[in-house]
Amino acid sequence: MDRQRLISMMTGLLQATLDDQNEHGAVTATPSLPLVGENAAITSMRLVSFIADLETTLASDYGLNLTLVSEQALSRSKSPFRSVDALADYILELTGTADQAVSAA
Amino acid sequence: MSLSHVDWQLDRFREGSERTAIVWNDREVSYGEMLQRYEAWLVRLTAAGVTPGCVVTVAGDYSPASISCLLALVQLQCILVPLSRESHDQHKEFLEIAETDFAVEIDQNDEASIHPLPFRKNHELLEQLRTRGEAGLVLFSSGSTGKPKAILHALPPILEKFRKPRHCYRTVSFLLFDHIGGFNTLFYTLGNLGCIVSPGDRSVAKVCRAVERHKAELLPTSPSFLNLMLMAKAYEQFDLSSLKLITYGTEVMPERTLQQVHAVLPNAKLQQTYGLSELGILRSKSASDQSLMVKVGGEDYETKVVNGTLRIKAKCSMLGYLNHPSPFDADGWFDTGDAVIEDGEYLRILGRHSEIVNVGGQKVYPAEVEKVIAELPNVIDVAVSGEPHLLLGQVVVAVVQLSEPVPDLEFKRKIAEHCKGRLQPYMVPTKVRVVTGTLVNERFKKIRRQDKPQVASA
Repeated sequence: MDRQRLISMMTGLLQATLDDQNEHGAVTATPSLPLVGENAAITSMRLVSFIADLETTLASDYGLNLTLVSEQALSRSKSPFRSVDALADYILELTGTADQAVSAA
Repeated sequence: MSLSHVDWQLDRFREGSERTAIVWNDREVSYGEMLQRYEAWLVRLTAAGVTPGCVVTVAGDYSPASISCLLALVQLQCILVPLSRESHDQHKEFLEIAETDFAVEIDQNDEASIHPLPFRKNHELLEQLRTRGEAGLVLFSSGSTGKPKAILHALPPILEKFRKPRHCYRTVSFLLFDHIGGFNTLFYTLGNLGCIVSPGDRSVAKVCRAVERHKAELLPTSPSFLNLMLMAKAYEQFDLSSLKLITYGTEVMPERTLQQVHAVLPNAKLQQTYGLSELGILRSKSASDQSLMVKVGGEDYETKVVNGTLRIKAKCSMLGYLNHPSPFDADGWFDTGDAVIEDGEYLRILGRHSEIVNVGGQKVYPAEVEKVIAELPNVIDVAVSGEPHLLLGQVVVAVVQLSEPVPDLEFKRKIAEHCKGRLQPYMVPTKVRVVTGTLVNERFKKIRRQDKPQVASA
């Protein structure tokens, strides 16, 4: 799986979520935009919705049926949901393609 | 009782012997003919070995043979178990649970056969009825919450109430043969010498055609059926102006559906009904044709609301389940599981408590969300339910039937946009699935549960 393509898809989904929450274009989605914690750009409900959108797209466009919100994800010391960047790494790890992605990068 | 219900009913049949009792396969059958059929059934059942106290299933639909058979079984003090053709796959299980002695099967041509069965185990509740020499009725719950429950009623108190004269209607037998509402409709109609109009199957076209052709006045139905009727614009194709009364129950009515039905059939009074297989049908009164507020109760029922859930105490509730512990509390109250809002004497029924979605501790009533989504163009039907979620407990999921399918995410955005200012953020669906098949089951009830097949065949 191509990391850049994944990031681009995720940023697009995040932008749609941000536009739904704020005025259109008020906040720009970037791979490092914080999604959790004090400076989170989206509410927790929107984060859950964004992750659901991501799961839907991974299934429809990539044929990947992943459950991203899991005990495994929540028990990590650093949340994989903290940004698009971190979440992309987590997805690549789950799909076993992290090594290829890193070597390709 | 000085005069058995059937004897009273037969006297009525004689008074109205020339009147039409049932229109079946477009053929009118008079009360006089029903009387003859009833007498033939008495002879036939007795010859087959049916005696008082026998449990007898009758599988079929509303027809001259099935109705006269039911009357004969009541007169013979049997415990009758009406079974619909739609539940055919479960009949074997039902026959055993009900401890059936005889199975009567009535085919599409109204020809009947009787088969003896070896399932009697002398269940305590059935024995009580036998000792009292009373006819009984067994109904099966639809099983939406697991294994079907076999509900046993003593028939005399149920039938007794139909002796009070009320309006006489030409009534479409829409509710299925094994449904408490269908049983109620049948005996109400017979008691008032009305006419049962049997539509054949329950498709929108068949039902509306039956209304038009036989000038039906009363249509007892479900909100889902009315929704399908509106979608098909059946009111343009068929003349439904004979309808004086449309009653709806069995599930929550979407406000939009109610308003649209009122707009296209302004002469039909719309009345919400409320009943449960365990308790019977309560008398009900809608605040107005366009209101979802309803007053339920009547002389035989007491109601109260505890923690937002309706509880009912009935004079003639069921004797009990044949395959389940009693659901009544020590004082005889039954928890309906229906979430309601009280407004003076009126209630608004929000839906099954078990269907409420709990998003991070916040309650979401599926009907509230469905109402808003249904406002969008392109939406034919929508079913909202909860799905387990690790962070929030549950999230809201909407399955939407569209006239022109669009990708799930695209429609999710449309829903989110439309819900702004109409619903709280936690009520907005987290997941949206677009489907092309119907969301309604064979009983014209909405399929919401996630652990059942999502979509019934169209």
